This record gives sequence, C-alpha cells and structure tokens, in this order.
Amino acid sequence: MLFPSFSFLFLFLPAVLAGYHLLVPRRARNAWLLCASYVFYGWWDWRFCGLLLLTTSIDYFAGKAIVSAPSRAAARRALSLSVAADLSLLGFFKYCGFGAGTLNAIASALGASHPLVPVLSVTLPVGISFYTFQAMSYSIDLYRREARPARSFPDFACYVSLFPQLVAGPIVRYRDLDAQLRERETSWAAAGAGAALFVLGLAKKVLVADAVAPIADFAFSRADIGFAGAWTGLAAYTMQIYFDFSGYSDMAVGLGLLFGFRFPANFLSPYKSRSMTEFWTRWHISLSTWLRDYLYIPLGGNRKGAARTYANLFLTMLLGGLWHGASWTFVAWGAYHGFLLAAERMRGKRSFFAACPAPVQVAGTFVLAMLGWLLFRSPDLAVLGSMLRGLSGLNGPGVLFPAHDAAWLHWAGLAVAFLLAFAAPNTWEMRWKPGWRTVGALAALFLLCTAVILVNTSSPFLYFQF
Amino acid sequence: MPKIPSTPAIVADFAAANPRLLRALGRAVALLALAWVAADWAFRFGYFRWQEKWMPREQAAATAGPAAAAAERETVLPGGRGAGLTRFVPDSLLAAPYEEFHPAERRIWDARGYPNADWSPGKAYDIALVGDSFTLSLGRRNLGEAIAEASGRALYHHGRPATGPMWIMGEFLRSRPLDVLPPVVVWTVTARDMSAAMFTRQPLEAWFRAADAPRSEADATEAEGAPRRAGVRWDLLSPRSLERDLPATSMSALLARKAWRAVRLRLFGVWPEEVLPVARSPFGPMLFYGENLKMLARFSPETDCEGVCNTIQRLSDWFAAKGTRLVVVLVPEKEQVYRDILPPREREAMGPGVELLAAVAAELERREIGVVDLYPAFREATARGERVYWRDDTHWNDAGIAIAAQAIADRLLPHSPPGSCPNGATAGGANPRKNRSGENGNSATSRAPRRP
Repeated sequence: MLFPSFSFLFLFLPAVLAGYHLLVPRRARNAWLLCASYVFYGWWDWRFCGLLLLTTSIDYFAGKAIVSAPSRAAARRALSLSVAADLSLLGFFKYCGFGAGTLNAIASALGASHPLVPVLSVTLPVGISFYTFQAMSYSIDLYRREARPARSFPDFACYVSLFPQLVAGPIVRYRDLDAQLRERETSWAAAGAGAALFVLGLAKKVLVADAVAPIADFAFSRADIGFAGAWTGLAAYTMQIYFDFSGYSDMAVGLGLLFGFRFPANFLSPYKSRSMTEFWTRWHISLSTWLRDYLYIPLGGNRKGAARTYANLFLTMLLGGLWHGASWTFVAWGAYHGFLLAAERMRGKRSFFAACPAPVQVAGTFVLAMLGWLLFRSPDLAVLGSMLRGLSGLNGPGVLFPAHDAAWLHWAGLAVAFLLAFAAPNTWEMRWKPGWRTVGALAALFLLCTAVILVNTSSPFLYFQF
Repeated sequence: MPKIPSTPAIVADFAAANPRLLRALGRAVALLALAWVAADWAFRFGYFRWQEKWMPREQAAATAGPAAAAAERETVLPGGRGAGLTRFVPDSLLAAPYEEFHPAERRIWDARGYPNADWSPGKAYDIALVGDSFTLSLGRRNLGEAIAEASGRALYHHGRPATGPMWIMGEFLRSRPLDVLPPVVVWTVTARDMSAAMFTRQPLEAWFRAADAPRSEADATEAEGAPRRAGVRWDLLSPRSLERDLPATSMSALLARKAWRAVRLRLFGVWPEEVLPVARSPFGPMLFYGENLKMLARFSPETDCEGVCNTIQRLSDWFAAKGTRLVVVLVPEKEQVYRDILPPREREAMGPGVELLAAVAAELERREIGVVDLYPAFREATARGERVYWRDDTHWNDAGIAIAAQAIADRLLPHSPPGSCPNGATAGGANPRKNRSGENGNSATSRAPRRP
C-alpha cells in the first residue's frame, strides 16, 4: 500500500493509530505495530511476508549465535553465514535475472548459439534492499559489540518490518532503535510534529514531485528531444527524484513520531552542496552512512594509503549504484559518482569549482548531480543516447513540454521545486510555532494533497523499485 | 559539511509549546479526522451501496427497482433539462446549449423490479425484451412499449440500466421471471460492450443449469418481491478490490473530482474527459461520451467478432432447444452514428472498433441467428437530417426508439403472428431459414454500405 493512497490514508492509518493509542495495552504495542506492518507489506502480495519473516529469522538467530558464541572465530562464522544468507536472498530476488541476462549476452557475443543459463522471471519484492540492509546491520553490530541483542523475536521483527520506513527507508540501524523498542513515550507534542512532517512530506511528493514528472517523462520518451526540452526534462527529473524520495522520508519520520519513534535524517538540502563530497553527506544519508560503516570502512577506508582510498571510494559507490537496481545504468551511475568522489578526494575534498564564488560552486555541483540522474533515469542506451544528443544541442532547439491549458501547472511545479530546493529551509530546518493558524495551513495543505491523490488515484513511488 | 541533526527542528518547537494548547489542537484535529473518515465510510455504504453492487444512488435506485424496497411499486422520475452527459459538465452556462427537455416519467414496476405495469403471476407473453438502459427511455416512450405497439404483441420488459448485455441476460436466465419462455426473446447488445473477453468469460453453463432447475418455493418467494438476504461480499475485501473500489466509492473523491473538473473547465477551458463537446454540427450542438470513445478504440473485428458470436451462438442454441427464437439487436453507440461530426483526432482514434458491428451482424447472419443491426437504419435517418440520439445523453431519443422498434417489429412479424402459442411451435420459431426470403427487403437488416 502506498502512503499517498486512499487505502492508506482512510483505512490503514486511522485503524493502526486508533488501535495503537486507544485500544492496545502498552505492552502489546510492538506486537500491534508488527501485525500492522505485515498487513501493510502483504497488501502488495501476501507471499512477500514469508520472505520478510525469513530475513528477520536469519538475522535474529544469527544474532543469538553470535552473542552466545564461545569464541570470536565461532561468532565470525555465524556472522558470515547470516550475511551470506541475506545477500543470497537479495541476490536471488533482485539480481538473478540481471546476472543471467548478462551471462547470456556475453556467451552470445562469444558465439554461443543458445542461452547459457535460463532466465527466471522472479517477482521483485518491494523494498527488499532496504530491509535486508537494515536486518544485516543488526548481526554485524552484534559481532562488533556495538549493539545489544534484541529483547525478543517480536521486538526484532517489529524493527525489521516497521511499516513507516519498511519499503523506502530511511535505513534505521538496530542500535539506534533498541532503546525506543523497549520504551518510548508518545506525546501530543511529538505526534503534532509528526503529523506536520507527514503532511509536508506528502505535499512534497504529491504537489511537487508528481507535478514535474510529466515534464521529465516527456523528455525521456522522445527520440528527437531538442536542447531546451532535454535540459528542462533533466532538471525536472532532478527535482522529481529529490522531492519524491525526501518527501517519502519526511512522511516516514512523521509517521515514526506518531508512534513515538525517532528516525534519523535522510536528506538535508542536497542541491545546496558545493561539492560532490558534500552532496553525499546530504543525499540519502542513511544509505551513504550505511555504506560507509559496513562497506567502505571494512574495505580499509582511508587507512591504507591514497590509492586504496580512491579504489575503496570507487568500489563503494559502484556497489551503491548496483544496490539501486539490477541494471547497467545504475552501475554506471555508481561508477560516475565513485569517480567524482575519488577525484575530489585527490584535490583534498575540495570542490571542482573551489576557485569560483559560492553560487557557482552550488550551480556546478548541481549540474554534475543532474548528469548523474541522466544515467539513473535512462532505462537503456538508446534513451541515454537521444538525451545526450538533445543536451548537447545536436537535435536542434527542439520542442518543450507544452505550456497550454492545465499543463502550465507542471511548469509552476518546476518553478516551486527550484525555489524550495535552493531558497528555502528544508523540512528538518523549518521552524514552526504550533497554533490554530499553523494547524489550519497544514489542514488546507493536507486537503489539497488528498484531493490531488483522489483525482489521480494512485501514483507509485519512484524508490519502491530499489 | 553540514551537521546532521538528530531530530527535525519542529519537534523542539512543538515540545516548547503550551501543552494545553497542543492537547486542544491535537484533539480537535483527531476528532475532525475521525469524523471525515467516518463520513466517507458512511457514504460508501449509504450512498454508493458498496457492499451491494456499488454505484451512485440515482443509478442504484433506478437499477434496484422495488426489489430493494418491496413496497415501492411505482417511481416518478422528475422531468427537466439535461441528462447523463450534461451532468458531467460542472458549469451550467456551458452545459445549457446541449441540454434538452426530458418529460417526467412514471414507472410501474413488477415484483422483480422490471417495468411491466401489466404483469401478473403466470401471464404468458409473445416477446421478452432483455437489455440495459437502451430499452428504457428519457423521452415519451421506452423501447418495450414501442415494440409492443409496432408489433401488436404482448411484451415482457426485462430491462435494467447500468447492467450491460451479459449481466442482464444472465439475470434473465437465472431468475426466470416468466413461467413459460415466450416464442421470441429480443436481446439488445450495445456496441461498447462487444468485447470478446467479456462475452467469453461468462458462466453460461451455470445460467443454463439455473434456468433448467425445477422451480422451488424459494423462487416463488423471490418472485413476490421479498428482499434478498443481506450478506458480506467477501470478494470485495481483497486488497486488489479495495484499492480499486475505495477511491471509486468515496464521497471525498467524488467532491474532489467535481472540484477539479470545475477548476479545469473555468480556469483552463478544458472539458472533463468524460465528455467531448461538438458545438456546431448539422444536428446542432452535441455531447459525446469520452468513455465510449476509449472503449470502442479497443475493439476490432479480428480480436472480438469470433468470441462475441460464439457466445451468442451458444445462447441462441439453448433458446432454440426450448423452442424460443433469440433475436439479437445490435445497438450502435452515438459516437459511431455521428462519426462524421467528431473532431478528426477522435474519429481516427476509434479505429476498427466501428467495423465490429458490421462484422458481428454479418457473422450472425451467416450462422443464421436472428439479428437486427440498427447502424444502417440510423445512418439512413441521419443522412435524411433526422436526429436519433439526445444531445445531452448517450442514449437514443424518441425518434431513435421509433426507428429501432419498427426495425425490430419488421424482423419479428413474418415469424410469430399475434396470439401464437407460447411453446415455440410458431413458424420459423426455431428455424429462421424458412422465412428468409421474406426478410431480405427489410431496411433494418439490408447491408447498406457504410461510409467511413
């Protein structure tokens, strides 16, 4: 079920909130959230719940084995087993078809007459990348002695499946939620702030991201896209992915507060960054810190000399790209960012535009990020090629997304997106004194979002495929 | 590099606020939200009748008839200007040129909720008319009355709006409204429903079994109009159904769509996608139905003719075995009849869907199944400058009904003279070939070449 959908807003959320705060005794609140989360996840396909339970069990019991292991070597074996099992599940469901397809392509290039391996059609379970990483962090932290073991299986299952952030993050580590799973307070203040964040996130997704999406779709669907159309289309996608994903994160954080949870920040105005290094401390923070702590640092980080540091950065970003999806365009996107980060590291983490005034640094970094999204959004080389021709002017000035009738609302959405991204405080910086006026404004915003959702029925999140 | 905050700043702002104010605000918001959600759900059950067979109340009232409320045997539909299509237009000034006057109508229902004023248990009829809203009327006379008058036969009218040909035929077979099948069953099939997928997935065998089963006391109770037993429709509770039905049966969604349509039309001049206005034409201003344009574009003789005809054949064979002749009336859509006045883009988008009627008619004739294709007759009338559909609705007007009734009566006349016995022993009842030569001059069935 999607957050901006009728069934979530008018059926699931009211029922879960009412049950949590009014019906269920305090002791049973985690169990209530656990049940709700499985209903939430099973709404897509009930079979996904089995997979979620399997991943949960693997890490829970591996955690038990790690804690009670007689030696470090035994703990290490238990950890390796659980990580291998988690990655195998992820690999099977997410990368099986991609791997087989790639092998077959190589074989056919080498002259094989028929496919080397059969390509299975496996349904990709929604959000598998998110909860697999989340569950893995538990057994790794236990092994590192950076977390204490979960109180019970339902508590741990509640952590892995927690519906506000189950399918699109932020990726929360067990050690950050441990205390909250044992004891957490709900208050009108926290719930009010949570509701406000949820509405703001919903507005980012529904009123901004969805509004600019048609401009991007227009550019990426035309082979003859011209210069102006390609650049506005790419700018629109750059805004779409930010407002879509950060809107979702805000909704997740807001929902968490409604149930007394504090989730970490995921986005802090990434397009205001002056360098790519800074960009990655502001964009999808929960993923970049996860990759830093569980991949980059174990690889050696910056402790093994300059060359290894660059290689580690590059490899981390390459795998980070692959995490987003089983496709060569995601790998290319990861490689692109890995290259930029390594290059900036060579310059002492200085921006490529360090010699210029601050606005130019921000603009330059923004264009670099845009070019990254070009790789990210292109489904194949043909689309990438036509967009590159358009961006470089080889297709002539070309046509723009239309601006007549109601279509100008999309252009207005793009203007608002730029204003919010560059000239406004983000949702984590906003200051708001609660009062009747604030509540009225938020209620009006919520009504508007609901009306748009209901008129358009449902619009799936971009990030659910990852 | 930015410092990553542990919580959003507004969490601190809210925590610093007056707790009594926060509690008051929180309670007010929670109560309002609860009232909203409850109202939406109340409308879903009350107005949309989601658990019955969801549809807006005005449709449901017309559809359910007195079966839902046994006492209500008579309904008066108020007269006035405007109909189905103008109701989609959120601006009354813009809708006004398309509106026509529709007289008030008094409908008298039989025990099952069908418009048969003269019905009595056990009464025998010469013709049963089975169909959807096209058999009813927005004007002076409905199709049932018109056929009865043109043919001089007793007609049982099994017509109900918003059903579609397959649903109403299934209902006719399962519910067995008549003790004895009449010699002729006239069945209207609308062009927008001619989908092979829809025709072939119907449980015909189950209908036939139900129709052949011995009559029981339960049937008799139902025939007297006792309300059906209420129960939970479990099939409507799966995630897939809920995702589809909940927004569709939401009062909030209805209001939002209305508001958005009004904004789009008044601010941007964009008409709702349900209607396509043609302001000037030889027939004056006309509204067309966007949904029909979409549906017709999906069909083609190649993909749909065979499946549709096979199902009709099975039904026809079943009726023939009972000594009853099935006559299929192919009802063209307004968009097909007035194809020439549609904007070029819409005209081309309809694609081969327009040719499907002719293909089905030809195939049914080849299989010797009684068929009345109204398209040629309507095109002829249109060529004479006569308007056969309402400006403000998707249905035919009084002139259209008169032409249709005459074409159907002409087709029936050679076969079963008035007062013929109801067991199907009438001439040509089971063998239409006998009188074939007598029909060929019939204007409704002659294959006039179609102009694109």
